[in-house]
Amino acid sequence: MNIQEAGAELRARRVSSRELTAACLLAIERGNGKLNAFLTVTPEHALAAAETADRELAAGTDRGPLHGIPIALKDVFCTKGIRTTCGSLLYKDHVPSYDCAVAERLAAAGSVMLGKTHMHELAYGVTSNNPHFGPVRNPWNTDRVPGGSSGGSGAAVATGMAFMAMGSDTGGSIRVPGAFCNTAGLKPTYGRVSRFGVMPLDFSLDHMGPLTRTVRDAALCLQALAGRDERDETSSHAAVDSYLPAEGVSIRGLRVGVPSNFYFEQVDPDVAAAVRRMVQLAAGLGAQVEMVTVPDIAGLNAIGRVILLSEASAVFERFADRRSDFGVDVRILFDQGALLPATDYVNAQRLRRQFVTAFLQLFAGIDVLMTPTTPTVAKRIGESTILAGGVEEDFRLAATRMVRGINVLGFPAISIPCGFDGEGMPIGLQMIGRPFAERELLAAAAALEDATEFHKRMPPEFGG
Amino acid sequence: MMAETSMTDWKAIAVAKGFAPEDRVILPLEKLEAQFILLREQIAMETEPVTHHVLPLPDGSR
Repeated sequence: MNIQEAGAELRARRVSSRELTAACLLAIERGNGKLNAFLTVTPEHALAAAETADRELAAGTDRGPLHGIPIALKDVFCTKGIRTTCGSLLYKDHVPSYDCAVAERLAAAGSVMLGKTHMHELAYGVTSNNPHFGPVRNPWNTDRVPGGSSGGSGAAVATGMAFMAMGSDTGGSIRVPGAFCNTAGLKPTYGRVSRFGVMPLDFSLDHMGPLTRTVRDAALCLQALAGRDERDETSSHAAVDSYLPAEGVSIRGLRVGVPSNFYFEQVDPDVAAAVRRMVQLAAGLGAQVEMVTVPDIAGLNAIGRVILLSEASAVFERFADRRSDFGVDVRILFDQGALLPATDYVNAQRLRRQFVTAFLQLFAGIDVLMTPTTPTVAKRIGESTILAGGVEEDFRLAATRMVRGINVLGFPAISIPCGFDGEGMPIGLQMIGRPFAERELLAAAAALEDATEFHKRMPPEFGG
Repeated sequence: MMAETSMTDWKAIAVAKGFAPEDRVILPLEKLEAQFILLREQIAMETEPVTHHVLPLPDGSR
């Protein structure tokens, strides 16, 4: 069941929020020992919120599509009175005194918060193999990573532990677990969702967004989340659209760009074939598909790495005297960031503006760009390198190769399920849109989702 | 003419801090720097000045 279906059942009085919440809590109780998707579960809080939601609905108060829906937050979102660790020893006992804007808005929309999902340490990585709190495991194969850094959110949504789980995305951390766990994962435009009260990794690359079972569920969540927040100066004044795609939405005439360079190089054959089938599907549904040459994505990724290394090291410099509290992989990244010259950081920001201009020019001719989300499926836990299209690569760099640059641009992007490889591991399709054109992006993604069944499959060991 | 390195000799600083030249801190950073130096040459001076160097999208879209 997805959010739309659960909402219909709630309003028809065929199920209560308390029953939905109890079912999610049971799924967590049964599955979390295997997956380690949640760091903190708050059953009393959740059941109380569910009962309030039921009482309100019975009294005729309907807060909208998320009313009574059980959801979860990555443990990077500050929650009043509930431990928020950021997956780090630095914050292992941190209990915030306030709610972040995302938690406030989701509560105002009537959702029921189940707890906090597990993640890569400090959101600084793509495996969610956390040295302090243990690895999150992929529900499609528990020997493999779920992606990251929002790995717990991906695993939770894929297995029915939550109808939606929020993620943060600095270099792919919503879209990569979405692809690896077979969920939708939406990274909205930079500034579309307030970051007030979210523990930062990188202030100019961090984006907040939902992981959900369907594209329309992601749209419903964005509707509740989007909008200016005076407490976050980077949040946008741009008007909030109506994001929910219509039933039977058409992509006839949509201009779809398919990269002729970079995005299909060093890609597993199963991944490339699955994405190309989606391109053919889009054409079959009436989209105008054309091959396009994209700007230098390898260069854009390098710019992103310079910015991320620099800003993240600046954010965590205050903890320089607590080196033993960092895992090895994260500590290496902080050391690298501390060594980068300030001139490189400034020049990376100058180059960033040039790339934004180049991409805006590209998007003058297309509405959506379709690419793989990742060049491979999820790797085994503990592997640091991977063969991508026959070439051995560092896994962190490989897994973020298709997604990192979009954070540098600030453009919106979504990953949706688009197939499975020969071993039954999920594959993701990335769709990228123009700034603040989430409405069009979600409509295009929904049209493709409507014409496929991949999103309906669940992991065999968890109800599939 | 293309500069071959940054103004700051970060590698010397790294070695002085105790990192071995071949370790996991220095090697990936060397590769990144080599890539970045090529990019740096593409900066067109006539793009200056711009506002908000550190935010990805221009004010017009906010």
